[in-house]
Amino acid sequence: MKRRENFLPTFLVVAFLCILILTLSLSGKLKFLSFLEKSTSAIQSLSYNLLQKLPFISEDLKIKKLKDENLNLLSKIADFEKLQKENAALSDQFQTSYPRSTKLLKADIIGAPGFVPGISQPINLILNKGSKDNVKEGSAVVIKDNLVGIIAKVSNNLSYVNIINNSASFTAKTENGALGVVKGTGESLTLDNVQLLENIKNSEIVLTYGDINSDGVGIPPDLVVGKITEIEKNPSNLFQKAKLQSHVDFTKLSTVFIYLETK
Amino acid sequence: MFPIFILFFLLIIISSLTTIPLSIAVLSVITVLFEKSWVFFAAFLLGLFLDLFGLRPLAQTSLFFVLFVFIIWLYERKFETQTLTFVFFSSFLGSLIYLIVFRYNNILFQAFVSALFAVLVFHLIQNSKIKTQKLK
Repeated sequence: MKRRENFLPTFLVVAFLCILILTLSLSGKLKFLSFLEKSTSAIQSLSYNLLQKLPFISEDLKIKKLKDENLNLLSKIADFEKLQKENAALSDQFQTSYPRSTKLLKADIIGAPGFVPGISQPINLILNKGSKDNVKEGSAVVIKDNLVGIIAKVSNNLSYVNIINNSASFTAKTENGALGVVKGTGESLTLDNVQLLENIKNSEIVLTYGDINSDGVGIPPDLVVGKITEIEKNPSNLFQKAKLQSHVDFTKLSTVFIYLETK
Repeated sequence: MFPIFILFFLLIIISSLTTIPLSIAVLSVITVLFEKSWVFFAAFLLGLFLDLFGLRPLAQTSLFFVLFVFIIWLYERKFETQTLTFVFFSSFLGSLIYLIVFRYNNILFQAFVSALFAVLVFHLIQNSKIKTQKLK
């Protein structure tokens, strides 16, 4: 047997260092190190932007333009639906309580953990805005009028987004007002718990129902979640289910907007 | 040493883009080929960077990497490890456990890619080491 360097003392020192830092980090005593996030976020941002420019990742300009136009049109449809409902409410002498003082914060995507180009969809995003910019856990992340995800973790300078496809669960409604719960199952999105009596159709747009807490943080109503692509209706089941497809191509995102407090 | 430094730098950049645990692959190769104690410090620093990128508690990944290097070292004391088979399987198993512990998707595919990357890096570094020894 070869005579080799004894690693045990080095291992013990490094392992002790790891445990010490981990304990301090978990107890929140390393917050002063948040300045490191800025330098690492610069590296992440640079590499993410480079990835977006790779020929097999970046898309044809024409297709990109058409997709943008499509998103704009869908946003307009959602706005139109909202206006129609507002008009109906006004004519009935009701006032809508839609949050009007919404603030949007522009954030750049600097990382997408879990994203293997060509193999899997991103399930999380890392944004370059954190608690210093008033970002809070539970805030909605949007692009135009489309819901992208929900802020899951926030540090001083960065925030971690759960994309709606990934383990999201919130109340939503169809254009015709059928209520249900949107659930993200990793790669796909479903509208579940829709009563059998409700008439839901293919290609119908699903909007958020609104879930804002007393601090004004959460998902505002009438954001586009996606459109129905497949309906699963079985008379013996309590509820009907539908598969949804978001209009947002999560692999091509580089900038998103965070809904700040809507108070 | 310089190519190793470049390799670590590239690894940090790639790690911010994908979850394929290439760090495990490189650590496995470096531990097997160099048999030096600085590998523990490299594992520690690499883990810290990945924790910063992933918004995880600091040193969580470092601890995993350090334990991974330690296990390879324990195996190295009794058996021959400088083989392609060992590098492939150690990287595959290490990556698989890493992906399970940190709850990633597509674990088998990612672990397989990581193991293939380890074999490639092992082959390249070993060849360059042999060439350098011949020149001396």
